[in-house]
Amino acid sequence: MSHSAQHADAHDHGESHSHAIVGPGLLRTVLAFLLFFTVLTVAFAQIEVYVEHAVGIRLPWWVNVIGAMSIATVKSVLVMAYFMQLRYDNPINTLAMLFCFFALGLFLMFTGLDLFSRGMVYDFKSGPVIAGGTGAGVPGANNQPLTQAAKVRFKERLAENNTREWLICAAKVEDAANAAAHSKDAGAAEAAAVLAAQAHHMMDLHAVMVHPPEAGAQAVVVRDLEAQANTLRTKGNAAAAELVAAAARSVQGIDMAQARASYSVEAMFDRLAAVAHGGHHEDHGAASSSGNASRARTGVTGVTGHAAPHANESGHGHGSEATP
Amino acid sequence: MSTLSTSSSSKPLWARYKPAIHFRNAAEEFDACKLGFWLFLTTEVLLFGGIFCAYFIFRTLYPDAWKEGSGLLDWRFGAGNTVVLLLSSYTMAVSIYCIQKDQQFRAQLNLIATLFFGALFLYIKLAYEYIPKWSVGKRPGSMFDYPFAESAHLPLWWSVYYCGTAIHAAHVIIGMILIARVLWRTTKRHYGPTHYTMVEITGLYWHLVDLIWIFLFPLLYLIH
Amino acid sequence: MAHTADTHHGDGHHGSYLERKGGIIATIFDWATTVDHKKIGVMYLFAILFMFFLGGVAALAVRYELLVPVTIDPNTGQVQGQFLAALFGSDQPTSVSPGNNIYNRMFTLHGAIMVFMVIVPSIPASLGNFLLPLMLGAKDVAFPRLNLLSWYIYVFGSIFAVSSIILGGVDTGWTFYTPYSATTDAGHPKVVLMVLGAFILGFSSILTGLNFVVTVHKLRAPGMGWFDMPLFVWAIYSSAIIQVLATPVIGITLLLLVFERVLGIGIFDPARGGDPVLYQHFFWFYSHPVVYVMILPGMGVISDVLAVQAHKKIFGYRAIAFASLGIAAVSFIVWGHHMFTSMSELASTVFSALTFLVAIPTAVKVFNWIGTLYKGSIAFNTPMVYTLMFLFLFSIGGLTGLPLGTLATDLHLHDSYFVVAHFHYVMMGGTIVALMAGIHHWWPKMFGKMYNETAGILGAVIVFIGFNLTFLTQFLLGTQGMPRRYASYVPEFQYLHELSTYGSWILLVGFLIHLFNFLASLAVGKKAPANPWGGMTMEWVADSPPTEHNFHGDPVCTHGPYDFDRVVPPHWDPKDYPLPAPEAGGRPMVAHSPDKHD
Repeated sequence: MSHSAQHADAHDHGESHSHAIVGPGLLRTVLAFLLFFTVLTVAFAQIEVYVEHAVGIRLPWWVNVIGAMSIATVKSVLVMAYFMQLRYDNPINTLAMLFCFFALGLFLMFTGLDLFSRGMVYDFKSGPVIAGGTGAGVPGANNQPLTQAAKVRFKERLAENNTREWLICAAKVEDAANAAAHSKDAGAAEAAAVLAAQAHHMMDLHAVMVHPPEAGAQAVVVRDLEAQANTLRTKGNAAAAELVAAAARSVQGIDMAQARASYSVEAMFDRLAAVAHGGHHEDHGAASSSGNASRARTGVTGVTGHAAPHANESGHGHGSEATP
Repeated sequence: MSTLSTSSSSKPLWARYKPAIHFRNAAEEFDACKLGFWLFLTTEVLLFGGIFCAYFIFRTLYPDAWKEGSGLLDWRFGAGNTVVLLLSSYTMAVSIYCIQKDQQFRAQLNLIATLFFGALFLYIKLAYEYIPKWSVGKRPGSMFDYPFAESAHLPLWWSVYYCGTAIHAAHVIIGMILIARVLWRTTKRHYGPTHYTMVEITGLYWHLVDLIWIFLFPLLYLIH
Repeated sequence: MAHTADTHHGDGHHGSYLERKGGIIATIFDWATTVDHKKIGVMYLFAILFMFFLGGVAALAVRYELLVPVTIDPNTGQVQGQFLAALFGSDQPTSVSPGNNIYNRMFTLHGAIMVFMVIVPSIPASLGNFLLPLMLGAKDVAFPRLNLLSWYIYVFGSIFAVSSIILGGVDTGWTFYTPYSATTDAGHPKVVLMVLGAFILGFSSILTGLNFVVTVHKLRAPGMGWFDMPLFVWAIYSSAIIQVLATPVIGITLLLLVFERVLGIGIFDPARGGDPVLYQHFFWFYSHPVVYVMILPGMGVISDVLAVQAHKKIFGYRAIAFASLGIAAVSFIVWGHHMFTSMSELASTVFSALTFLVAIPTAVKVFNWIGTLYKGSIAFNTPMVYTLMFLFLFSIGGLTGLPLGTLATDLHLHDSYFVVAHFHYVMMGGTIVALMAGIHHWWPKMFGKMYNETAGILGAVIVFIGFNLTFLTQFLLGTQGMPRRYASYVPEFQYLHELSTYGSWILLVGFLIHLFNFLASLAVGKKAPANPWGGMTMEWVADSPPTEHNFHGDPVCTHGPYDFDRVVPPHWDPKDYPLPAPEAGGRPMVAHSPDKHD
């Protein structure tokens, strides 16, 4: 063992270099870089989506992962080096952090080593072990996968009388919106926007699951549409108002007994699914800020045959949770 | 470990601060506190390591569920929250600078801004993400009730999403409590150019909260 | 190792830290709010010994149940031989399952208490807290209030965990493996309580660990370089690093387990797409490194006790120090050997190969200890008896780990009594034996009283006999195919089980002797000199018991921790202990060297 003399001064005086002062100018520069990288990582992900949809090139999955993770790493290094001042700090703190990331790496690596190499030698070990269950054995799931059980519960809800009437009206409004969107008449675009918004509101999951419709949907919807028509009229857009009022009349004219008889839960389910899924893949940025006109336009993209009761109409801009 | 002398000096509290007796001087105490806190931060990273590991494993096992799940998140709220947290990190760092320069009022303003951004983050998370999602059945595990799932393992995605973001949100709340305490003590002139250990440490904690989100954001919202 | 620069320095705290501050209420308040590392160490020691008692009672119950196999009377259909069921009121049952349930709860209780509340905190939190600042020549640990907080967290977490007993006990085993832990007693809070208790205890462990790391980095006395630190400090430092890096993972694991249980999130549930083996990865990523949190401080105690009681410079100081760090490093990449039977073949093979790496630093230590004993001036007292016992038992424990790390043999021995015996030889024969060595070695320093050496050695010998009778038989049971965690067995195993149970009673006798010895020492023990064994490290410079701020003045490190060849230990009194002759040409030096003034 060595003796103390050569180590005597190793740590006698507290290192005062940890009292670094990082000025606001540098902090602002770092912030600017961090915001830039945030935009960059979002843009990177969006470009990939765009390339897939517009050009039809499906980039391999790792492009996305490596891009996002390297940008995140750069950002975290910036935060640690400047905001957390590791760059000016006692190196032991950096060392502690590096040890931590190393331990984390070991954790992920060896756990992955097991989970991803099951059945490499003996086939019988793969299969159920890798595929995993779907919740079928779980209490309350009625021996179905959890996702399937949720579907079944939802369809039961769709079959309830009040919900059924509500959705029949909603479908009518949506049809009117699509018709208006295809029309070249004066005020058609505005009317389409209003009607599409109304239909979307009515077919949103919230309207079915969170606030289940009450009895007398037909009257409620007619009243709502007439109110919308009046609003348009006071804004001086009489042509659009008339189209909305016409839609109100067509809702009024639904023969509920007959419509209820021909109502198909499956068809309505598909229609609601289309509303829920719509807008997630295209039209991310536009819908939030731009006005009704662009909503109307996006409302009709991809309509193939709106006469069919459960055609795959693309829905609106936001996802269903955009309005809290 | 603070020993504040009670002499009737007119100097502010921070100038009267004396380090704890088992340290040789204030600089060494500051260094020790920082090292201790960095070690604590490593434990925080490894705590989230469990979530990252679960994400990594299940993403690889069920890529379809993960693609569908991240498609159900709206990146605009994630990106907005990223910006909010980055801004809060900046104001936190500036408040440390102000304390170092004895600009007490500016420091308080920046701490208040940090608190505001923290609250804004939680508001966006709660009002635009948790409540709307939870109410339409996008829930973890057995509570799952979303009717339009395509992948059978979507409930697992929501498990990882809620565990990760909820534990992160808990850290935001703890960080805000720490910042509020620092703010309160700043009004009493506890911190100044020669003594600001607690401000620095609170700042480190807040930056860690930001750091975790920097990784959670692309993992949950962007990678698909 | 040191001298104190100025005996007149200081602020009048020259009384012993044990001095009472006024009446009984005032004293209790003083202890409950103390930030003195010595008092916190002593409070930890008593809390841990109490939990050791609780866990020991559960162990005795488990062994008692296994004294005879359970049989069913063919004529009456009544179950016989379920002692625990009889003890808890259900006489003459006609079904084995109530008794089995009690048995399951007992071994879970034993495991959980012994691991989370006794062995993990045992040496670091009690001896470590007390000795670390003393050995470094510091006045306290870096964060004294955090230290007190960690004690309260420990007590709080223990209450949480133990309260699950009051609610009827937990039967998941101490590892809380899913799916047992996610499904058993569904809807009842006791498993959640136990798991949250372990979660809270983790925080205590983290705080203690980071406190120690910072203390070692920042509070070494002037003149003390890294290689002037006692090996106990090296061991505590290495285990503290593991505590900091591994414990958060058990935190998130147990939190996810609680979510799994309460909310059904499905991450560990194969029925929902999760993976129960993932839980085992999470769990063992913490719990395997923690095995070294348990044993490393024990190795540190042994290094120090061995050198001091043999009055000889330790052989291979740096090798032992780096072996501690090496064990800490390797501990993070071998956790898979707990799951050979459930992992993929590739992962099993890799983990098996990595597991054998542990043997290298461990063997380095054992060989260096034996090298230290060679030609030492060995004092044959209780700490030394326990140290020799450690070498013997730990070697058996370590070597029986090899067949368990080998894939082919593990498939046979997995989940058998062989495993039980193996980890008891390491955990009890290693850590608890080292704890006993340490408590005896530093008892005079902690309480200022000597204990009765004859009673101490007698207790140690009885513990040795009892231990081997209890656990050597279990190696045999394991190789013959007796699975662990079973409440009964085939009659052919009975005589080995009987021997094992008798051994547990002998162990009880041994520990009771120690208990009475300690109580007698506190009551009527001879006053201890400052340096009863002739130690060279800084804690022997301080008074016995130390003063409130540990030293008179600020100590300075002037020589290595085990320089028995060139320095006379501090406070040397030939009446207290024999001193080895200095090597040829050497001359006993006085510890005070005026040229090293600060």
